[in-house]
Amino acid sequence: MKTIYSFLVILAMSVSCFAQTPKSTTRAILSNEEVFKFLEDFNKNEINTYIGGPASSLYYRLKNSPFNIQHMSTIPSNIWREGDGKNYVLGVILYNMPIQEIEKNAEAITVYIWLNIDNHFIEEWKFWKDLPKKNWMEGILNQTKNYYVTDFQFKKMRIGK
Amino acid sequence: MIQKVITYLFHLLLGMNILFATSIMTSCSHFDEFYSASLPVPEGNDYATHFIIALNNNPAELKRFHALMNNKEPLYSHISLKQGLDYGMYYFIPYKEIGQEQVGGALYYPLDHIELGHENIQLTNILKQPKLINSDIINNEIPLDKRFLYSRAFVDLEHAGLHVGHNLKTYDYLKDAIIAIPKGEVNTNIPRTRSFSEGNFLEIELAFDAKYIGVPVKIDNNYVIYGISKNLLEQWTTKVLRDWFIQQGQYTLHWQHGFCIRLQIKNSAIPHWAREIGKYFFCDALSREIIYLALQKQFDLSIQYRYSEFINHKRDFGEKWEIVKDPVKQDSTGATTFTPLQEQTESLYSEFIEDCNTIPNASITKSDFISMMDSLFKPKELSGGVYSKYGNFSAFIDSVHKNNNIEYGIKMGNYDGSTLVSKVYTDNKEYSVAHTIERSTIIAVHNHPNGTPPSPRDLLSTCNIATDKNLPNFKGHVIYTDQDSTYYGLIIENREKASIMADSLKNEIGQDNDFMGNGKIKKMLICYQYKYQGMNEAEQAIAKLALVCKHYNHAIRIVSYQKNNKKKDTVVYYIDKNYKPIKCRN
Repeated sequence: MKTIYSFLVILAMSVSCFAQTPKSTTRAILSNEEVFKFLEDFNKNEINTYIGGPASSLYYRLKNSPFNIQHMSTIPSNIWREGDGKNYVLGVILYNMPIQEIEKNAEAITVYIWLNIDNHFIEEWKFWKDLPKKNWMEGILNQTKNYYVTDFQFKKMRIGK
Repeated sequence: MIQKVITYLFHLLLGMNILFATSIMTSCSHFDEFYSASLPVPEGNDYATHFIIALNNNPAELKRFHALMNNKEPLYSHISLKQGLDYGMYYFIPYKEIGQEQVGGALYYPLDHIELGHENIQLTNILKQPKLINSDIINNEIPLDKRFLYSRAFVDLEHAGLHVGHNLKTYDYLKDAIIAIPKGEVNTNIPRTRSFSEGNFLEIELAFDAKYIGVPVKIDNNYVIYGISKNLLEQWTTKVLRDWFIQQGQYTLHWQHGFCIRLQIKNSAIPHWAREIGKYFFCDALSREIIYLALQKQFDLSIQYRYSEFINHKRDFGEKWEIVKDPVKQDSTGATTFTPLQEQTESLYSEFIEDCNTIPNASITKSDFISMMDSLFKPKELSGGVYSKYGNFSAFIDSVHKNNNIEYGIKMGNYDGSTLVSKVYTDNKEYSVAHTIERSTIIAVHNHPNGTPPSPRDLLSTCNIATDKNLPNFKGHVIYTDQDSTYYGLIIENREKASIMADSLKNEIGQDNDFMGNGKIKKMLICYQYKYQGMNEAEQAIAKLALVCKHYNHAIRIVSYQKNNKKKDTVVYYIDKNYKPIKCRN
């Protein structure tokens, strides 16, 4: 009986794993409100597990979530505030919209992942220059995956005039 | 009569026998010819070329290949070289059944090779016993905890544009997912070494399948590839564990049959972030890290993992504790492979592209700026009386040379009937100097001690002055960077547009001279960072500023000017409607 029960638990766990691995078609029909709701729940229930852990685990979780990563960038420090005139990378930004949609002033949801990268003084321009031109988004994840997550934020945004 | 009939029948039968025997001999001869016919060497796929050459050099294997491919059509252009679980190095030869549209399976043809060291592998022409894999074999004969690696190979073919039978891809669903392995499905209770005498531990089996992305190189008549070895896989695995602070002594690593590693890791050594989410997550993260390392070496790696949990257990009424497989937890299997995030296929830029024709009035902008700079540099001989309040531009350069830790300002205008420059002024501040712009002022110059191109606040200031109807003569700000002796000009191109720009930018710039993090402009710039990723530091900064100018219909134009000996280098910067960075030089 115990074995049957444990099998059912594991089976249920597998099903939930599949639920966390939606196909792209499932993602496409999720509205921004639904994605935002997911992030609210995630921020409330799960994020503490990832704070202090390597960014790779959070990237993995988000890749397999209703948040569909369609564009990326980095969180910059302030070029004019640093005495040396340099701009440094502080973390990673994920967007759930491709740039073409953002450009049309569509509302995008952005996730800001702050990493303990700030004391490594990685200059922003060098960071970007070193990225591969093909798969540059994977390149960002790969270059930052071993830094630890220090903070997590998400917000809606538009860039129109 | 009867004798005649018997004789006739005898000859008839004899004739038929001879005819039959001849026909058998003829068909045997055709059979042999067919099964030993050399195959034409295909072009366009190096792996196919190597495979066919190896096959043609080996009559026995050639015969076997013909027999296995009877009624099948090998897809030579899709042959690839792989290294995998059950076959070591092998050629993957997909095929279609004759008359079918879909891929029906593949021949796994192992190949002997020589490891040369430094991950170099020399290919040989020695082929080994092949195995035909079809959907029936994948879904019934292959163990459940290895099936993903087989299905994945066919999914790759589908990505390459082929139609693939659905049943060949069945187990691709294990990608980024896990399932419990039903008892009896896979023999998971085979005897094994228990690495630890006490404590709970996790056992993971990682099965690999690697595809070579590189191309064989001919060295001394031998074909050599940069290959993958067990040693390399072991190095990658231990590197990931080390990065996660899992020390030697807390885990053991053993090679299993083929390309498969068995790890046993103490539960206490598993990082907390993985412990809290679940063991499947640890396995997946581990696989993913190894795949990332493989990618850096141009290997496309797929991993299927199986894990079991072991615990300290006391037998009924016994005194002795022993380590056994956790009876309430079933073995599970899942898989990971590299799937890049989908990116838009568009141009990314590593420099401004030279194209004077696309920038409207580029030559006018340049000649205007050169003439302004010439006026600045022209020595002023007027002195005394009314002219005593004016200065010389060389005094500005001297001040910057002496102390480039603060900003200095100087301005040029139509004063007292001549184009003159003011005396040098400063607020003794690191990041600002206040200009008092008058009706007659044409340009205002200041230095940037940190050597950076114009700042967003410089842009806003230019727009604000352009908006002021009492300052019609002002043409723009000039920013001097002493580090590379460059003068950057922010030149007013259109006062009406600049007025709109000023209105939009007034709430976008913070006290630190940069665009504010919560402003729309900053967000836009961050969004487009990827476009100009290959540029150097100064060019990236200029591209961002030019992007803001584009956003406001090019109200302001960015120019740079360098004067080396007698040569003047003037460049106009521009971002076109497709976000292409353009420059017009000389």
